[in-house]
Amino acid sequence: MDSISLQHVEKGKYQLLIILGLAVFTLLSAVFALGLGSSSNLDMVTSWKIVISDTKKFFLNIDTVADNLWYNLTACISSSSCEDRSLLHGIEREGTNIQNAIIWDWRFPRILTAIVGGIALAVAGALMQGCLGNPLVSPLTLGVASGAALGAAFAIVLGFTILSIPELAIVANAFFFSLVVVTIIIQLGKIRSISAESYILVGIAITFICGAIVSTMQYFATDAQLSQLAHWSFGSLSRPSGGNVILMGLILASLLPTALKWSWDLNTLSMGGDEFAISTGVNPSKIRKNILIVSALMTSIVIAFTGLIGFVGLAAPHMSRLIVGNDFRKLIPCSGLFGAFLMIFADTLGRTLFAPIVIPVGVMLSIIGGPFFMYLLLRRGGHH
Amino acid sequence: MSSSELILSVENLTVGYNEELISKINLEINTGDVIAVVGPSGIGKTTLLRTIAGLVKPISGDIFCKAPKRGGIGYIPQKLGLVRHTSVYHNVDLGARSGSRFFSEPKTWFKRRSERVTTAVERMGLSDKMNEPVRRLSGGQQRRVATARTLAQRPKLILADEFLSELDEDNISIVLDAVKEYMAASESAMIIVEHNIQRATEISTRLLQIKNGELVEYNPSEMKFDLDGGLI
Repeated sequence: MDSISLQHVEKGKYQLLIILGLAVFTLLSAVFALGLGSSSNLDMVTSWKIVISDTKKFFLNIDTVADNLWYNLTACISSSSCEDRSLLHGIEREGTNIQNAIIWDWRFPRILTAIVGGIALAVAGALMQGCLGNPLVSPLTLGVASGAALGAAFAIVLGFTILSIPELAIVANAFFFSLVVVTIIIQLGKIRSISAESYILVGIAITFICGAIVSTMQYFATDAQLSQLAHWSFGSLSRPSGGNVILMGLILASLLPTALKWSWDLNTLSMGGDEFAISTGVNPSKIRKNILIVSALMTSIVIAFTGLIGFVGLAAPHMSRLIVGNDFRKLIPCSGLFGAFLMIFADTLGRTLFAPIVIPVGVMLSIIGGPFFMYLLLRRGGHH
Repeated sequence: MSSSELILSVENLTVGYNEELISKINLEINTGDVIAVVGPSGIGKTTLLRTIAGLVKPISGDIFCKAPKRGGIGYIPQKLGLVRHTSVYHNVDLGARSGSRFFSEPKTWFKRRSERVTTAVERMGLSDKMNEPVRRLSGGQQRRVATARTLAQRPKLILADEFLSELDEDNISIVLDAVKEYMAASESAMIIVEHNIQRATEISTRLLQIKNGELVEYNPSEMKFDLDGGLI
């Protein structure tokens, strides 16, 4: 019962400063990543110039931007022949068309996805580790990800899709099937004698079942289908478009406040278990169920678009715990920022290291993050 | 107390873990009730309390609770579950935090919380120990801290598990007076699990005894004891 030690209570202000610093650092690394790339006609200074001038123009000509957005939303939906305008359409700009396209259509959504996805997965990981009382839990433990993989396999191998729009078929399938897993989790909460361990074990069982079905499909799949499925499962940030990221961000923004609202309840759960939680007026089973649903939703919305990215949800909460301790009021925001930073870092390295080959962020995260994570844990002399 | 209203109703409840401990529980609890559940150890008293608190799911049957969903039920466990290295204030604040809602009036949240803490601690006669770490208090004082924590939560239904055992007479009267004062002011009800039948009859308005896996209700004022404190 000493997870929130006096030391951490006393160091509160210092930790808030660290979190603030981490936020600034993450933002700076996002801007830095926006300027970094393999294009030969776009060096870092030029890209920053474009970014700064375009941002300025965006805010100075906000009415034109709104007009363009309105045009995209109205005129372009009714007629199929029209092309989406860029938001700065009709304004003289700094860069050439290609340069603008590289920065705003390619790098920007990618970095935004890294931020949104990193925050969502890391926060989901912190929530799940807290409410299940197990440091090995990650957002993929409950089987949400394997549900998504099953959905993707259905779309790719069998051609069975929920939505008939080709660009969104795999995403919709992955999301739908992960929702099925979320429903199973909700139903589990109603069963008698459900404990934190049984949630984890059922999640592992779901992972095995979905894995077996996917393997069966792979066994009968063609080479092309196999490679597409393998690519999906790597986890990459290049898939979501700008609109997708905004959708992800909106859903995340609606779920995050609830997560923060429950942070104190999570504290009581992680301090002394169910008995302690209820003696301070927190209903443990209800909180556990609610938190699992929210974190599973956060995970599924992200991995439906990006594919499997597991490591950030496991490592970011642990790394933050080493900095701010086990107080979830600070741990949740700190994990989110750390997750975003890890994703930006790994993705930027992945797309610049062997350019023009882009290494998927899921792979890159594990390669760099794994040893770093091990170092952090061992340095503290086996803190966990 | 003006008029009593229903707080908890239990219908055909069966509680237990793997095997049934108590079955066919039908119970209606109104404000102002102090219910004592008695019976030998291992018979399912604590399990019944934990089921009502929501820690254990019932085998069958329904529990309808009128208390607010958040902080409406206060549970005082047998093992107190206090944070030993922090102050009395901090511990009582844990209860005050779940009871007072932030979003209803964010500006006065901290003020409301600290008011709750000071009232509860004063009721328990621990005002001078406010900033003392809990581990430096005696067993009886720690139990008073745990009770203060639940009172600061301002629950409609208090569930107390053997919360008078290990207490001397002075402490018992402090705790009981404070709880009764709170109950009168807040129109709440209380369920106590107690192994000492004589004490249970003294403090309760309704007495439930577990016999052969079922609850039997007595009126405590009609109970008689022999010289050794045994039930006649």
